Amino acid sequence: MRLIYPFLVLFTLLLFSACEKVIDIDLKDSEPLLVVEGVINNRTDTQSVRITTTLPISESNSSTGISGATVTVKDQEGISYAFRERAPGVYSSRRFRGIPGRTYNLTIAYNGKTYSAQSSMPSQVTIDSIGFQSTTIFSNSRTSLQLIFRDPPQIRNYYRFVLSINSVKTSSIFVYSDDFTDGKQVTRDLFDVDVNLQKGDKVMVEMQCIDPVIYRYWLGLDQNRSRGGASVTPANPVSNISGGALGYFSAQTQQTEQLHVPY
Amino acid sequence: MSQLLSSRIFETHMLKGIRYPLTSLFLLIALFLLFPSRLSAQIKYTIKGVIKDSVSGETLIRASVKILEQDKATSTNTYGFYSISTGAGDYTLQLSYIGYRTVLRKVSVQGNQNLSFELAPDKQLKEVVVSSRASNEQITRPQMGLDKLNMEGVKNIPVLLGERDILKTIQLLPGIKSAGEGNSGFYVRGGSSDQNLILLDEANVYNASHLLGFFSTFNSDAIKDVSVYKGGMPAQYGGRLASVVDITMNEGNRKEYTAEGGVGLIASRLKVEGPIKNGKGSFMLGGRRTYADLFLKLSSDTALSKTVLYFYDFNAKANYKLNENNTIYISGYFGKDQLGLNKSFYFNWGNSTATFRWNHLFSDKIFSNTSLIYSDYDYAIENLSEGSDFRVTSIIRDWNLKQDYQYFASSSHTLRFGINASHHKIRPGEISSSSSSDVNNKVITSRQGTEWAMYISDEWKPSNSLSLNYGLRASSFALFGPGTIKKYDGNGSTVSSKEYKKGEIATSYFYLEPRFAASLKLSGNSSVKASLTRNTQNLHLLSNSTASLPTDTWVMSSRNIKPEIADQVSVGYYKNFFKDNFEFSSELYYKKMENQIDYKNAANLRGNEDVESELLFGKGRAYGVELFLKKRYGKYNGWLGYTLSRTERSFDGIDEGNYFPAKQDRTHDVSLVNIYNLSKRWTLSATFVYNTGNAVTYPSGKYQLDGHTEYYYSERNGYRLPDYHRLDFGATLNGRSNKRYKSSWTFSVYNLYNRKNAYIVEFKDNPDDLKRTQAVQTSLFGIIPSVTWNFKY
Repeated sequence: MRLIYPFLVLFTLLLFSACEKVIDIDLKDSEPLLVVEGVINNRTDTQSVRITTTLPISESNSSTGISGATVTVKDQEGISYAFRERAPGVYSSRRFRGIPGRTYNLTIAYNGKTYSAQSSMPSQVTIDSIGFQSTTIFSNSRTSLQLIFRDPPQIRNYYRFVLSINSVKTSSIFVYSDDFTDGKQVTRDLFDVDVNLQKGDKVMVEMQCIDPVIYRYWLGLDQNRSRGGASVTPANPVSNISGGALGYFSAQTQQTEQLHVPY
Repeated sequence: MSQLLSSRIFETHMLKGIRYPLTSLFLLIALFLLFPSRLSAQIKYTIKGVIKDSVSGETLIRASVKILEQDKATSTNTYGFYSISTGAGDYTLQLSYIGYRTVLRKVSVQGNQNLSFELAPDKQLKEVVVSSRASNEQITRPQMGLDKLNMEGVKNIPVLLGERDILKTIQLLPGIKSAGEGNSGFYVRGGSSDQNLILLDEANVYNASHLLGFFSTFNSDAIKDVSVYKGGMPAQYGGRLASVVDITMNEGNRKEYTAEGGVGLIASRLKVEGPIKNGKGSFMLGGRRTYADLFLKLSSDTALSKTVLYFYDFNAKANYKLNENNTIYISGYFGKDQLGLNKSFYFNWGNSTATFRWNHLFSDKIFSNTSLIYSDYDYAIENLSEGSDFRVTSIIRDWNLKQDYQYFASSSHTLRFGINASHHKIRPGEISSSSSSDVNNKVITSRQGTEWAMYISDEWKPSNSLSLNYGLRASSFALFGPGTIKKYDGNGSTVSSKEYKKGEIATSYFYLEPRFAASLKLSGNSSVKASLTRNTQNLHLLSNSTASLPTDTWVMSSRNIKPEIADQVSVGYYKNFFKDNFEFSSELYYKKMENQIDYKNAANLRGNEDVESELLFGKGRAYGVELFLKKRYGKYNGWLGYTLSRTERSFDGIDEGNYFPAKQDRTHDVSLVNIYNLSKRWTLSATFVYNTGNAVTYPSGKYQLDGHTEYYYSERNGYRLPDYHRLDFGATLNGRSNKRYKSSWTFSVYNLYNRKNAYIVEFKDNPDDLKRTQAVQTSLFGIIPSVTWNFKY
């Protein structure tokens, strides 16, 4: 139900004369802020939390892993798991697997400050089948991955799909709710104008069931990406981490499927 | 409609609130009216009539009528009617209208008289596009912030793709800013685009644009008069904060049948008009259609040739004079945009309006107009893809009943008063699908509300140099059941939910809106003015994207959304010089806005039952100075406008409640319009615009998330796009004159020096070095030449 896409296409057509150029802008840099990316999944026994910081725009992207933080995750039963730093900024526990229906609490202590977050792992919904779909818009034909799953009725579900091509993650954000498709067998095309699948490509999709706060977080990030002029004023997505850090902490189910593009 | 009339509870509620202030104003005005008549013992007679164009018989709006011996003056109303009072005697009546030969007529007044006039257009007197009707109207009348477009003049202004467009032309006036490159949307004195009241023959036009804003819904051929109020709105207008754009359609030629039209690069137009029953009435029919898709059909590419992309619109109007005291008018507009992609997706949207009006003269001094108005805006989206087909429809529909009186009480008092009742129904969205689709059927609850308003105002000339226009508008709004209406807290959680029965009031608001304007003549050709205006608004457009989309939803005031309020004060200085050939004005304004709307992060504004939980409420302020210098006649005419202004908003949820520059904020704004009548056949024109770049949000840091570069933002609208400027050039070649047939060619070049103005700036990974970030600017229109051929029989 992304009604916006047709507009993007129309915009593209209207703006055939549009042109791009790189410009210089003098930006004011903010103080570095902590960025947390924490995921609890139900597929492996390894759970990890990555802690980095923001960088000035003018600097080269480099590893900004934060060492020396104390990271703990506690589940609703009161069981606490300590995370060990395996590489700068990468903290993990190899002792547990997430369980759908459970709520997890993350606590990070660093530099005299405490950051905390909570996330509940939704029940798992699985992919029934995947295949490919060809879409023709004006004269361009694009192949995209199509997947089918059955949405459980009467409960709110939020999904995120991560698409990888030949083992490289794409940057596309695919998040959906069941607002319009509750209880249905749902067909989704993971269509992105920037993604063009070629014959023989190995395409992998990870399906995640996420909680509503995380859904909203990804939606917020997605809105910051300009859409051919029909864009929303960019802003920081609302994080579920309190204490002033960016990023998110998500307890999510995961399932991975892969397929080669046959044509 | 039935609810509108049966809502008696509400009516009483409304009357209770308004009785006191409105009665006192009535008494005050009555007092003013009584005094002068006691002082003058002389018997007064009334001269009334209608002023028309001698060629087409169209009535002239705001033509000036003056009794030279007494320095008394009035002007015609929207229907060309005037009424002026004087004592017995011999006088010279002067009738004038910009672009027409002035008529002087000796009259001997011994009783009430009915005198109608026809003025002849003056071919020599090439007039400027924006004008006050009488030569010194802007000096003498208290009205501020008013600009009128001259439809003949609009023809000469160069525009994008050669489509003449009144909404783009008004963007060349100080205080009015374009909503974006090539866009017909506009911002007036810091207001957003939904705060403009756009009236077409009194009917509210909800979406005034075609093709995502690149063209306005108004076919210039069918338009007779455009008045834009940026401030000091008279009491008869209400319902929007920032401006009133009052558009009157042509009534049709009363003398002969004529046809005119044009063929342009993207659209063609045709208009026919003529008399009904020997000039007792007349009619006008106009239509326009774009044909970009016809070119697509020629494409050998089947996908492209199956693409549908066009818009069309129709205007129709007819009037008939039943007798000396009664005239009826009927007019309508219908427009549609169609978009279809390769049999998989269809989308259409459009407005329709209909207005029925009855003019009645109760006496020589009391003019009445009754209007019944219908207006709607709807869209439908159809997705035919297998397995996920659906159809979405949405509509906003208005019924509006208006009763206005104009009482030409004496030569120093003209009163206007009336009532207005309108009923709004919004069906935000209905989704339907086939049984094999993965989309559920869903209906978002409809909303209905009524607005009631009463107003009274008096234009009073206590002396030759002082004029006042003071009035009051009492407006109220009520939201009705049926339906569940919820109240949300700041986090968007429901705090209360109540089921309302049909016709039951869920919430109501009442406001008194003072409207005051005064002008003081300093000399024969200069004056100072001041005005104070309050406006309220109960219909709000939810749009969080930079471009206006046809699917943007209108919502009404509710338990969560309070009516928007704007209070504006302005002062100005006006001077005409070189025999009224030059006109200078400067206006200073300050505007305070309350209950403004913004959106939470990642707000879901479409198909959302709880859309009101996604909103943020805050306040705004706008202030600035507008300078305007105009050369009105001559071989060379045109104007220079400059605005220095600031527009800010403040929301608790954004930047800790600090004021930040609104997207409408542009510090400097310059427009220069030049028209040069080179010869009888050639007219050249050039317009130049310059403005400070839009306020935009840029990042102040970046980070990696799931392998992708994301940006950190610390300041809302803390940066500016590069400055915008553009020069357009136009030339009109009139065909050789022939009594029955006229033709002309219009050539125009948009963005003559091919300036790459920034439309958006995005931050991206540098493709050559993915670790680096670069800012990429996208520009829309480079140099675009176009040609249009126009004809008239």
